[in-house]
Amino acid sequence: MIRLENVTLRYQQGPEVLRNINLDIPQGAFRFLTGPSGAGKTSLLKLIFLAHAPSQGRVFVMGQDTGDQSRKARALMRRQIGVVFQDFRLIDHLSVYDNVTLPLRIAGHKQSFWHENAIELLNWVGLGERLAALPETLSGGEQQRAAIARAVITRPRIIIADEPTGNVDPEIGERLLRLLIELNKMGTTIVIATHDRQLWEGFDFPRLHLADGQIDLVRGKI
Amino acid sequence: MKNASKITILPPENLAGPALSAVTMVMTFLACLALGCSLLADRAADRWLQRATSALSVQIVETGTLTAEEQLPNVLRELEAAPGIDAIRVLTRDDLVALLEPWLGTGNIGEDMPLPLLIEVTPNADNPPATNALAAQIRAVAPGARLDTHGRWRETLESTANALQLFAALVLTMVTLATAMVILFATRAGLLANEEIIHVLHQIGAQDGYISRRFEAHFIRRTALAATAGLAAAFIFFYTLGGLVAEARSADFLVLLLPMPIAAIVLSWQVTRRYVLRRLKQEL
Repeated sequence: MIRLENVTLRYQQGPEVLRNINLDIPQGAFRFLTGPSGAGKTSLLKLIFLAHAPSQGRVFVMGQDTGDQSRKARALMRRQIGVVFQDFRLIDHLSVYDNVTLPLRIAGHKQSFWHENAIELLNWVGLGERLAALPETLSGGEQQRAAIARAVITRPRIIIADEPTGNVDPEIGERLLRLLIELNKMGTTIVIATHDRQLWEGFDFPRLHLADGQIDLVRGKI
Repeated sequence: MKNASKITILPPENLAGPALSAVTMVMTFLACLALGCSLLADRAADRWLQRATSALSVQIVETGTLTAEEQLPNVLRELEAAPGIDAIRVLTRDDLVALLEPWLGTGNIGEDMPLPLLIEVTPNADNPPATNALAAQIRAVAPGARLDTHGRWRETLESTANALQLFAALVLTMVTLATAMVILFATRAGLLANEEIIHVLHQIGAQDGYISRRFEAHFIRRTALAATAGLAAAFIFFYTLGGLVAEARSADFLVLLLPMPIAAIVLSWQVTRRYVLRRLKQEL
């Protein structure tokens, strides 16, 4: 589902952030991505969710070499990758409902087709009563759940989450993780970057550890 | 929650919005003013010059052997025979007194004061006479007659009109440039304030054209509102000015101001489009 071949990444003329990375994440896998701050976790995720191109090497997502795709094809691929950003990136002036359903509107689907599913999803993440609320009126946990709902509403094949529990208390963090595990059980490939030891120790999933630009599989196989 | 499937992806207005719209409005108003004044100055200058160029007169004074009246028939004959002349009128003594009184004072021109004979000549506007040849012909038949083309007066008028036109064009250029810069910066400031939205839309799978069109529509609407308000203010100004310069009220003149707001909208549109597409090209 996700494969990196000899990938090196540097920003402009800066030092190498990632060095000769080889990685294979099969379809339906659940992976934690760990490592110290500045190890390149977010950079690695950006390669996977098509926000950056590698300086060297090749990145395959859903069987496609991302470097060979047209801009239009990459936009269509992004619709199958749900991303949960550490800072949520909800649009301030849009309600929870409008934020969460934005990917469906962009994909050109008619509201009559998805409205009921959207309400069901928002109820599932516990935001059924807050549909009209603006992001600034939500708690950190609620914003996080809205961000997750937006990431999953298109039923993506891959979900990438960057420090999803970084801004919420441990209890909510664990709930969010259970939500992602449910999605994984439905066949969605999940990659979660975290430096939260409690989080990965509490669950029996393989962990990719990134340090000094190199990646190691701590348990399971790469 | 909105039931409509269309939502406004860009905020209706952010904090900088009203201030930037107000600046756009004021600058469009000033640009319309500069354009309108430049056009009015141009037309006025043309009119002055046309009048000055068209005015001809023949002055007859007595010579040692001939009185002015004795020379008059010869001069009239030459003028009537000359091509390119529409009308000839010999000014009466009362006309001459009326012309001189502003300089000499009312009642100061006595019956015995000798006055020259003056003939007002209206040349054909499209086919005026050759003044040098006409002057020589008149001189040949009436030694005391002189054709006056008001050359010196016309030269002064011409240089004044040219200076006025140049000044108006300079003001128009400067104000137009300033307006363009203000719209450029206002649009860019608005885009910067909403840059995060470009990233979010891009990441959730929106195509470049979709994102760009949303931003273009937003900034075209905003600039159109502000520029239309500026144009409306300029219309009010010129309508009021119409009390002094009737032409400023005419629809023919007011319609000439329309290019300014249209240019403002096109500029804002193009700045937005280029900015958004350039930003997106920096992303994968």
